[in-house]
Amino acid sequence: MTETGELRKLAIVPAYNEAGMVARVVRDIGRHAPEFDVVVVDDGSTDATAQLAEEEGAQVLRHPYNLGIGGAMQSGYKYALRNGYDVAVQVDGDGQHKTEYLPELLAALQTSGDEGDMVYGSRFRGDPGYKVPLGRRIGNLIFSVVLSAITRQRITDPTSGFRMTNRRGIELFARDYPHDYPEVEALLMLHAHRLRIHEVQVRMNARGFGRSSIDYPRSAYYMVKVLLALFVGLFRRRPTPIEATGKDEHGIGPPSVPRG
Amino acid sequence: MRRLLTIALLLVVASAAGATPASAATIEVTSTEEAGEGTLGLAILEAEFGDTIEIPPGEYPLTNGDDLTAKALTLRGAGAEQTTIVPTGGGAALDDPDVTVVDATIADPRQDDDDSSIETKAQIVALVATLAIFLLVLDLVRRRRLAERYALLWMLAGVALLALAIWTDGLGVLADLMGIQEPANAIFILAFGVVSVLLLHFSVAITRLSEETKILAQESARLEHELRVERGETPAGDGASGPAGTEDDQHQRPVRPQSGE
Repeated sequence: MTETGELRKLAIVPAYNEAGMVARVVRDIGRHAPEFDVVVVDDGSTDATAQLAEEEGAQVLRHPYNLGIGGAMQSGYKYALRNGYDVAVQVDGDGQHKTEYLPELLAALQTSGDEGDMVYGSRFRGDPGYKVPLGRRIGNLIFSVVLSAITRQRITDPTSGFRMTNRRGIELFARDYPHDYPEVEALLMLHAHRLRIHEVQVRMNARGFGRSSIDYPRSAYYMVKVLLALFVGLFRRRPTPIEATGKDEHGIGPPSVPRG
Repeated sequence: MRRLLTIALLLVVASAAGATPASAATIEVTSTEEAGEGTLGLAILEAEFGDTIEIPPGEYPLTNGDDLTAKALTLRGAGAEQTTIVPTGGGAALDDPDVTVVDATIADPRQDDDDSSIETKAQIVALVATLAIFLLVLDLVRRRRLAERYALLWMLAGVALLALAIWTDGLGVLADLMGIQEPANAIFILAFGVVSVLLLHFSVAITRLSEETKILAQESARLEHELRVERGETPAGDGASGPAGTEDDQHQRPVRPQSGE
């Protein structure tokens, strides 16, 4: 992280049936943060998402079927790791994340140095920029309280998916990424692996086209599932920081598949 | 407990009266219920050796067969047409040579509630069902539709249930150990436990499978992308430092095997 000019940067754009937005997101990244390469992870879309993204010059990973946001993000991180990227940022394919904040996140990631291995944009440090539904606000508040207590630092927007991470974060997430509704669990993973989290105030757009990953009937499942994940996560053995070899003491990795 | 209390009470009453009946007494039954005041069962309990119990017309369930034989009692009905004795414990006590039954009809034994054996019919059903499952499992293995390790699991469960269905004494012992009165319930609980564990096992297996298929899907997406880049169907990334173009530079990390380790 010393020669800032040499850093290779990647924007990971998970997209599932986002034909209406994805091209704009890719263009916006090019406009506001041209030094970022873009990989769109087409998570089994049935529309022209992949084609439109490719036409805008993005690299496209096409999942043969829908893996969910967790699987899509992990695909992106694997791509970043494989291709030697130093910085990776998640930008939702639905246009919720304002790409004009990318330089700010990048600056925070670089200047924070030892302070932050992962910098994320928080809606709730100030004005979110759009009207966040009450249910989400409450859910967010609960996660915020729990996570802040666990990590002993103020985490105001644990469900924000607008995240930029350095090499250590890329290695961690390429090997292991939570399945569905992964944002909160991913923060806990960062904390458990002693990666530092830093937040930057951003505003976001209300969701563009496409579906929100959380609609009302699912929010109860979301809450319970994430709280369970947090609870179980607390009882996992604390891993030591990841070695440069990309292996931690658990040998946690994508192939962590027990033999039957 | 109640029986003990009753006996204790009787002893107290008997000693208080200071009367050890020298000759056989006669006790009258007044209730056709199975338990409680004035029933045949209580009369048998209260009777002394050699007593006679008078039974009015009606149908009377017979309990406490052990006392009946031990005390060599006589049961006297109001006539074979009018008094019916319905054994509840298999009726063996009435066949005892020490027991005399006069002027009463003995009905077919009532369904046994306390005996610790499953009815033979049920045993046969269990046997046939287990064998059917066994054959089904074997056939599935033969047609390669079921992996041997799962087959063994099912067969093991089947054998355990079969053994318990046949060896009913074992079931009784097991039920006692588990503190369950009804052996049939013991087998249900056991079967339920086995099935639950199997289901849990499958949930674990499904979790593993979905993890594996996720990795495969990600790998397939990666390979497809690399193939398209290779064929020139898609530009190799943005600008000069495109990701695919730097596959060979010093940033390149050894690609670890992505599946199975």
